[in-house]
Amino acid sequence: MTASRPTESLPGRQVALVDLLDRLLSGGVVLSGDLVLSIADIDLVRISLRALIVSVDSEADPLAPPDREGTVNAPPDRERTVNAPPDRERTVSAPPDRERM
Amino acid sequence: MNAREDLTYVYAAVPDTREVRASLGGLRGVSGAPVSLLAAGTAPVAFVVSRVAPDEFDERTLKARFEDLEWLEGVARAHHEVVQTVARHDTVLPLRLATVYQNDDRARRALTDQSRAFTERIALLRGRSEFGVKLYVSPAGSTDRTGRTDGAESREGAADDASLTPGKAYLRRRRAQHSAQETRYRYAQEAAARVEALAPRFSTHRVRHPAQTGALAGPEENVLNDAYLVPHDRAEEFRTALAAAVEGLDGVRVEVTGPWAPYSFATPSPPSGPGAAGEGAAP
Repeated sequence: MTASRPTESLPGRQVALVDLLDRLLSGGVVLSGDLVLSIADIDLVRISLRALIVSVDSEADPLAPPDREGTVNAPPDRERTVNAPPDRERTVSAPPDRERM
Repeated sequence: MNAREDLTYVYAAVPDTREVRASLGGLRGVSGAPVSLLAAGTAPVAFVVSRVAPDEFDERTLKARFEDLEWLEGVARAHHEVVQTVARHDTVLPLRLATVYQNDDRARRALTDQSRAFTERIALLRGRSEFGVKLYVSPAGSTDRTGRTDGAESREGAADDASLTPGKAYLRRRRAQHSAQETRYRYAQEAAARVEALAPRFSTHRVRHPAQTGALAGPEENVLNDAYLVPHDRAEEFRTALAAAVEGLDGVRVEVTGPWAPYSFATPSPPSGPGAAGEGAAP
């Protein structure tokens, strides 16, 4: 199973930062205890980066029995509707667009 | 403990094999520091680590740094490069960005505590990669990437414009644009349904990320941002099927990213408690 892993298939192309941050800020194992720091502790991220990326909330087990979620327009809990307004920051009521770029 | 001592930055948990160790030779991580493997006793998994300076990664500095997109991008790309490099050689369990311990001993203790959970998780992920599947809707009245103008718009908008007053022609165009946009959203729904229908042939697990918005997201509207876990040997078929799924749906584009290390699937089953109920259990 180690042969020809398809991991090489983005030759020379840098992955989009937004896709990377989706994964690095909301994915990955979160360790607790004895850390100096983990990004999971930094609520500020939800504020300062929320105009850039919005996924800081998936803590559920993605390998749990799948498909409790529905289609794009199904359970409204995560605003998956295709037409949904892009307002999905639940934790912060700070004025939008305060990122500096 | 002297606060000036270097801290231990942890990238990922991996099987502790000779091949993985070899893959780290010469690899540089965050701040350009050499990357190494941190083992704990006889545990079958090890941490991929490097040293980082305390004045860059102490809590207060970090909080400020996370406001700095340029700095964040540097760390994110370095983290990703290390994870992807190891992923070419073995199944890797990425850790959340900026997981930092006071020193190796403390990191080792965490590794020992979690060793079994990591091993199980790696076994679940073995042989599979993560792929991102994104759907985009281009704005009405725009041309798509191939330079084609939108079909619905030109059909309806151009029709006998010549015989109308400028005002009426404008309104008609606006109406046509509006209906073209509604058509595109309908198409996007259709595309999403097709993706959903075909994915189980290739993938057992999915994670939904929120649609991307904001400064980094690009001009097109992202309406679907999913991650699928796909066996290595089905990846090309998966891509092909996805490309076919949006055929005939004007104004809708599918973008497949990856293969990624299984970032979106790395979280071990959380202990039961608030927020552990499952996907979509919004706080």
